[in-house]
Amino acid sequence: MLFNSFEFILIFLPTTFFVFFFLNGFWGNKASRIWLLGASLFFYGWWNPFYVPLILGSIIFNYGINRILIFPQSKHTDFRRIFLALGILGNLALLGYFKYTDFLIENWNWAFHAKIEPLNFILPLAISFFTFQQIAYLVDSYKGAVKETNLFDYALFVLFFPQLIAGPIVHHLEMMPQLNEPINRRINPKNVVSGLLVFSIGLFKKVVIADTFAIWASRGFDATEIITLLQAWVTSLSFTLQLYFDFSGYTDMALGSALVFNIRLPENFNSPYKALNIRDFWRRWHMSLSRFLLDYIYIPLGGNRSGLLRTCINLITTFFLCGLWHGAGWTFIFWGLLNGIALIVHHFWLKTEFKMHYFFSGALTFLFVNFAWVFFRADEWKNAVQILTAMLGFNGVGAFELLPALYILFFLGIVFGAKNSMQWARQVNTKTEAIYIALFLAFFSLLQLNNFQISNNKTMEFLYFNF
Amino acid sequence: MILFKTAISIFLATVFFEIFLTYSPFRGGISPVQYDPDIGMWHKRNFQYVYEKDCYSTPYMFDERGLIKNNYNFNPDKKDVIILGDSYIEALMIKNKNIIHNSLYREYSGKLNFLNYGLGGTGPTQHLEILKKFAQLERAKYLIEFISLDEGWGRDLEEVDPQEFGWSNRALVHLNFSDLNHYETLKPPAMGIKEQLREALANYELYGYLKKTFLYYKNKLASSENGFSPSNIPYGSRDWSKNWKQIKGAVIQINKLSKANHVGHRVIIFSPDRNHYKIISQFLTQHKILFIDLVGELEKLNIALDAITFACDGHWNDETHRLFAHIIKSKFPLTG
Repeated sequence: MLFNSFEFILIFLPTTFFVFFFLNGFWGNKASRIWLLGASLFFYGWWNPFYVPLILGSIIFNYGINRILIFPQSKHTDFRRIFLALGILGNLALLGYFKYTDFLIENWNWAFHAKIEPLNFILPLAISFFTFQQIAYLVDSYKGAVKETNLFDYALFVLFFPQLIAGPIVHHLEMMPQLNEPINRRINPKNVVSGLLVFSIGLFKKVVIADTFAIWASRGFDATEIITLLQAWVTSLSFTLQLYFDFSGYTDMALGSALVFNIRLPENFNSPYKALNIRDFWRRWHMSLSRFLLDYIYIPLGGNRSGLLRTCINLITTFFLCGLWHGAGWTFIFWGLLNGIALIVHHFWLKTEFKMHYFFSGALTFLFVNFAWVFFRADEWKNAVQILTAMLGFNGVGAFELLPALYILFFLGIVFGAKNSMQWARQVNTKTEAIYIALFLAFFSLLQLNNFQISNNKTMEFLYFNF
Repeated sequence: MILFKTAISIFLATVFFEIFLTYSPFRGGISPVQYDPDIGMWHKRNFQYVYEKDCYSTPYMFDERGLIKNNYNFNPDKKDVIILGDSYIEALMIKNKNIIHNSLYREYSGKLNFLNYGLGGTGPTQHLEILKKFAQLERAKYLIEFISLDEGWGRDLEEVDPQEFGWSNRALVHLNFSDLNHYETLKPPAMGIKEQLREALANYELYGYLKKTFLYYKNKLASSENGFSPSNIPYGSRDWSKNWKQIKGAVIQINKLSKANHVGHRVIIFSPDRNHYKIISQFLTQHKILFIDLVGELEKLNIALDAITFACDGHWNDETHRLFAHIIKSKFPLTG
């Protein structure tokens, strides 16, 4: 089920909310949790019920490994290490099988002129997210940072519907204690109002802003052979804005819908396009993923503690995996490598102790990110090159279109100059004020959602939906 | 107070949504026509907007009389050519310079003023009434009448059937012919409250949006087989005898009016249905009315029918308008 669908907004969320707190009040915490778990499974299975056993199997597998890792008698380090490795390999094997098999077959066929048929799997929804979340859980279990928990609570931690599909990638310590907090078992009007406001902001960002830019971005990426300078810039900037408003909009909806259940999920975006350098960008963009990459890949590889060369190798490895995680394709890998290289360049730049004016460093960072997103979005390598060639003016200037240009300028102004949605939501002073702002944004977004329904007979999916 | 604030929030969201629709790629368009007591509808005067679909986004303009704007300077010293037709000729989706009248102006090297009286959703009977009401026949030297005939493609056959009154966007005038020379005029209904409301709302994007929403959910709720739709009727199974009387009657009346004003009447037929073509061509030959068969001309040029329209829309594209102007020039040597 999508957050930006009528069935979620008008039926699923209100029903889950009311039944959850009703059960909490009359039948106790256990009944309400069973309800929430059931609702989350229904939410997941709405897309494709066939994959429900898959996610349940993954949860049981990881919980089993966790029991071994935290079992008091199993203090023998080697024994625990073997099971940790087994757990991580099991998760990666599942992800690899569904996400990367066809990519490997494709490359094998290309390298050895073989004709192996691709498997053409439909990627199980959210597999990249729940895999990472569970690997983090196993590593923390190994380190002794996980408290005793039961299978039911663990399943709820993985399946909790607001964060299930596309994150934020939640750390168990951030969520599980909140579920057990007695104060969180009652409706908290303040959280409900804040949650609905944040959800409405997210819905507006996705349905109204991101999906508008999606039209111009898709138009350009679908016609890369004939694209000219101005069109190429409109295309790349449209995608840059689309991706930000799409994913941060999704995150706002996740945070908002969790908040009505009194669960505070970690923030995932902090005005990333205001970043003054690439390291700053990665501290602001998809923060829960950056944290995962740092804690569970970069630092275990040695981080920056083992000399300059090793730091560079670690950065490149981390971002190679980051690119691969985003998609099974060379354009994604190249995008990851580009970011890794940029971080290395930044590392060397810091050593020069030369200070660049913040305007130039911000502009340079944004232009680099915009440039790199072209590889992220392009279906094929050649399409990315065609867009970039046109952006450099090799295909002529072309016609100027006023409407997308005005939209781009306006929303770049918002992105660079205004507070982000979480800062803004926190600033809304009264509950009443928040209710009416939420109502305005939600009604506007529902009108536009209906517009998609009657025009295309479908709602546009989130860009991070299949990662 | 709560209700008032809620209403204000919803009202503001609606107003801003209207602005968003107007200035976004989701623009659906506002009605290019207004109520006319004689025809049923006519283009808004001095009006311009953008016609949007997936495969085009074209600005269109009407002049002070509601005609499709010329891209040449009208010269009062030259004679006029009146062009009548439906949405193929109105051609809101075509770049103005390529629309048939402007293409013809270029083809005939500007020797005559070509005036486009095309109106979407109309057939020969409405063309006759448009001619009588809006055209200046005394200034004209030629009249080119476009007739498109096909089930499910051109809608002229259905449109002239008074039984289907109001099936089009607006209720139109219809002529009930007893024979080729005698007919009764069925005027469109007077402007009631519903029509007035529609007239007011039709100035906003929200009108088209609400109409589309209503139709979408209506079709979802009721099976489309229960509602009337020409596409539900098996091809070739309709009885057109009554419709032919309307078409033939209107053509004869237009011809008589042209002759009375010393105007040369020419007919351009676009009929992918070759049975319909046979009927109308025999009739025109019998009455010595000059005509061109566009589908036949396309066949000679080996051009397929699906190559002459937009991908997202069954209307002729820009190249087709230019091509048809060229064909007309090669067949009819109109002199200034």
